Amino acid sequence: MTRLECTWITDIVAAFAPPGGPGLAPGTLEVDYLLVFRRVGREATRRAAFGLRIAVWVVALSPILLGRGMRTFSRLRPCEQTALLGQLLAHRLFAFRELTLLLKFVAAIALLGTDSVRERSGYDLQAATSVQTGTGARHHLPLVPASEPARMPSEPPGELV
Amino acid sequence: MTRLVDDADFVVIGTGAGGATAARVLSAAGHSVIMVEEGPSLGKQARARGLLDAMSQSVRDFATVATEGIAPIPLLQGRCVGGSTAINSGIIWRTPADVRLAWRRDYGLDDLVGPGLDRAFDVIEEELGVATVESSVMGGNGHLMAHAADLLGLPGRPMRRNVPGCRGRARCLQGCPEGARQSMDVAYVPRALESGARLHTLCRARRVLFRGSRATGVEGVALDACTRKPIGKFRFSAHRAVILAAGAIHTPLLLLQSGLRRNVGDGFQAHPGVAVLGRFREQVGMGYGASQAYEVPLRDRDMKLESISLPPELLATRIPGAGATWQQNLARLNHFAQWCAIIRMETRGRVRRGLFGGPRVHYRPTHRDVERLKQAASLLARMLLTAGAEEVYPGISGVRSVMTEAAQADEILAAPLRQRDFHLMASHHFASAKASNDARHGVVAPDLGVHGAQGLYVMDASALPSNMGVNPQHTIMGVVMQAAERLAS
Repeated sequence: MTRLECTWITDIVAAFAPPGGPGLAPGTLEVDYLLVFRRVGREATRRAAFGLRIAVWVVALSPILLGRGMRTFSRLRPCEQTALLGQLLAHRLFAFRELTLLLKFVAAIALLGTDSVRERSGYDLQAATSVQTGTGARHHLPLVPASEPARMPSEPPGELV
Repeated sequence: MTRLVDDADFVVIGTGAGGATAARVLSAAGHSVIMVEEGPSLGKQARARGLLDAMSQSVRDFATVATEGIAPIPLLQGRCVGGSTAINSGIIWRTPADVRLAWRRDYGLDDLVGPGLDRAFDVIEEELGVATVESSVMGGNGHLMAHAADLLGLPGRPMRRNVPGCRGRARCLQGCPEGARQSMDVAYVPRALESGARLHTLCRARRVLFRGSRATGVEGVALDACTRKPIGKFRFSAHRAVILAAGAIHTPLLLLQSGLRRNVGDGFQAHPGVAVLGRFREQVGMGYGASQAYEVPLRDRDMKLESISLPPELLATRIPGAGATWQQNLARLNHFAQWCAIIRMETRGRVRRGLFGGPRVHYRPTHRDVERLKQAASLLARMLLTAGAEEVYPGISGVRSVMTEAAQADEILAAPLRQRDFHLMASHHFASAKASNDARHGVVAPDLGVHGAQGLYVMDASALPSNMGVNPQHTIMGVVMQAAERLAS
């Protein structure tokens, strides 16, 4: 991959979940998107790896392809980048939405494959407790009272998700 | 470059449901057996939790092998000792009576699917500890589906699985960290090894060797454990027979590469699946419970609905949107439930050899198949909303991305959808080297020997003449157990 492509990959994949956003947000440079992209490309078939690379080009040039001026994805403001990804994921053209979804797959793997981010997601917390205590045996609806929303492990007391 | 040479009575290619069963039966009968596996041997300590590492270890090409065409369907296949049984949920279904009747009537497989099959099922179920999923490990995802089925009067039930002692880790795809699932790497491969069989891992078979029309062995390349690049060659000789059990995509490929053409790869079938997500106000906790726990079999509609708890990385990919909306949902992953439907599609495709030696799978669902997909997705959405989901994400292009009322599920039925509007995954593959008593219509005979060749057998889902609408592992094992017993004697 060229240096330009590497820049595009980082910009595009990171834009799915920008740092500082609400909910599950990674810290700046907390997630190595490029490394994950490379690994997925290496594990995939040649055709899929080629598709991933095409996806990067299509999304990188999508502002031009969609007639939004002569700018690449990297030149957009962060909020514009995220909005554009949302539009591409719901685009009527199959190629746009599926190629963008491929990159979202990479983003999801990178995000939740980063231990610190995954820990903050709280996904494994309830599972670990259930396995250790066998509380799964008493899981009946409602599973957790609605008045007790889940709390992120890293959040300060009193602040709800 | 190293060269590996070995010989035995039988050489078995593949260690999944078919190959491991054949090796276990033949070695127990006193025959020398070589098992050949392209992937690595993974102990339970070696199985990773994270999707990237887990899929790199055990899933062929990161599940990117896909059907041809504008809207490719990924084909999930295991590539490690245990094959796809090492990445599935261990769901056990005896071959349905209507399927057995059709195979006897249309393909003359009276011996394979007769009373002997029930005896084989009894043996396998006993050895693999098959039991109904206990309530304690149903998990929120399974319990919710049971609740929805009750409310809608659907014929649901907890699944039967080969996972005695399941602790509900919800990591079947990544590999059971408890070693509870009796996949072939845990159950039959060790038994075969105890009986004297030998296992060669990281060996990719290239072609079957022949003397005249008799199969005499297999040759291929040995792979580096890290890079999976060839580092040597192997040649394994078979005194009595070569058994191909590399799955319904790579077995026909091996046959084609070995010069066998007639009917090979034709008639490929699958069970593509579609999944629908629902977000609940209460925690569901998909991270706990059997990966798949509850099912609603609807055989008259050619579909089976299942609860399915996949790794959070895959769950996150399916949640719509990007940016703030997506991130807020990622912080509530424990509130999601995911259910899928496997469809017994009528279409038949074909497997061919591609430009670089890999498989090319041509497979296009028919109009009726797409209608079944619509019905399944609509029913899943309705079930989730009936069970109390605040929002349902059907993940289908051409209909609203978020549904909040049960009536909206009907929009899926009314919309003019095509296959490309769905996100499908096919994990059950069949019939690419069909068994038939008529050589004009099949690749192998009812004893699973290849028509026109001696000492060459196909013992995996390739030989099953059609898809079944239920999970195939048990049928593969039952059919192969009988065929291997006959071969052993």
